[in-house]
Amino acid sequence: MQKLSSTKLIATATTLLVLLLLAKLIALGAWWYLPSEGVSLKQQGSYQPEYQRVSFANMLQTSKVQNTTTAPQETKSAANINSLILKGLYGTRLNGYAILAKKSKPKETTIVAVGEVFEGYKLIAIALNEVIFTRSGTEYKLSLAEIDPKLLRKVSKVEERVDDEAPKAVSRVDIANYSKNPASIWKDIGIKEVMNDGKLEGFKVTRVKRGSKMDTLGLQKGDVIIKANNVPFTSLNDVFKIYNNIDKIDALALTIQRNNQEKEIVYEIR
Amino acid sequence: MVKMAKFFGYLLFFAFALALFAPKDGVYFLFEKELSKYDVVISDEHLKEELFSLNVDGLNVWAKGVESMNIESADLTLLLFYNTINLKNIALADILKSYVPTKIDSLEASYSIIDPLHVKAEAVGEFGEARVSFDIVERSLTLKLTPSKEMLQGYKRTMRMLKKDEDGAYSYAKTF
Repeated sequence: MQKLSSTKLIATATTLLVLLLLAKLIALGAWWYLPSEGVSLKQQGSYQPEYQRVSFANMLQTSKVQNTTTAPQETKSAANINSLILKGLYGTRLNGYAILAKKSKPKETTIVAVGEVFEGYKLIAIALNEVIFTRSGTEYKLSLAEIDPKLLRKVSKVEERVDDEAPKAVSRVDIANYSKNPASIWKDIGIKEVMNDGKLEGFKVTRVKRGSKMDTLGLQKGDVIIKANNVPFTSLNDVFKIYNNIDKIDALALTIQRNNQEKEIVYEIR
Repeated sequence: MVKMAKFFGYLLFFAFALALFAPKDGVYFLFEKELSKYDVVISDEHLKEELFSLNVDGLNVWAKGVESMNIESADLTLLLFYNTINLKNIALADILKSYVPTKIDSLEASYSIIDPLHVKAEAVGEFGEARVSFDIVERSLTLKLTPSKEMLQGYKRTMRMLKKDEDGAYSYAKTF
């Protein structure tokens, strides 16, 4: 009897061992077949550092700005930095240009590239609303000159009449209203993705409601928006990056394709 | 009868052994790969293998390149006969806040061999309580929602998309 039960026990143990071995073999087969790493997100560079800023208002009204620009700010005191006016800037951090003038001659502007020297100050970087110079090992920041809003309105009226390509003013109030009720965006404008070989090429405007706020943006049915601030759209996330940071943006340039030609529409957000 | 019991005993033992040895992270990576076909990517997560389950923490879910939700933790249990996935503290992206409350406390999805044609899920959150059933064969989804006060009062536009049942619950159906 004892012999019989021990035989049964051995048989059960053997079966369990075989099943264990079989499970391990299947697991090893699965391990060989299954991927060894997951899908990682291809992070694009932050949108904000690549942001380009052009103060068109400053460039457009040199004669009137003379009396209205505020003194440029600086973080460290310098002998002559106050004598300079920053009228505009363009580019990414280490690659771009600043439009500068002397306070004594505000009409005479000079375009200075990063790395170049102006009045003894070497331009080393472009930021969102300011440029950074060095002189004798000290850093100086020069902010964009402010414009009298009255003058800006005057210029806008002229732009509307004579220059379709001039920057368009966008109210932050309108943006806030659209943010509160995103569904109203899609009532006023229709946009769909344009894909090519699985890659996003841009966003096509399928309709614009006449008389709506969107209608004032200068976009037309059939336009394909391909870049914002000269950065190509690669995913919907690029749009949301702008949407989420709209409070920090003063100017936005959209590059669109219209009738097989590229065109840039610039917006000043205020 | 004894033979039958023995057979099921061995089968159960085999299933547990398989669940024990299964490369759970590999299964998860396969799941990620399948999701990526639909332009859904999970990022920044940390994986930790347990005996019969896989714990994943800090998941950021991106759909079509847009960060859509953050999930504090997910537990995947794969036992062949009964598989579950438990998600805790889900925060939907702000872009969705005008359509639905963005906090979901928990979501539990399960697949059991007892009901092999359906995947079932239950979720609880600021929106109320929801039960979802997905028919694998017909590829149809049905949702039953018991909405919260916040959902009823603040998200009328979304509620209009649901059909009110006689029992007071709201339902939604979609076939893929």
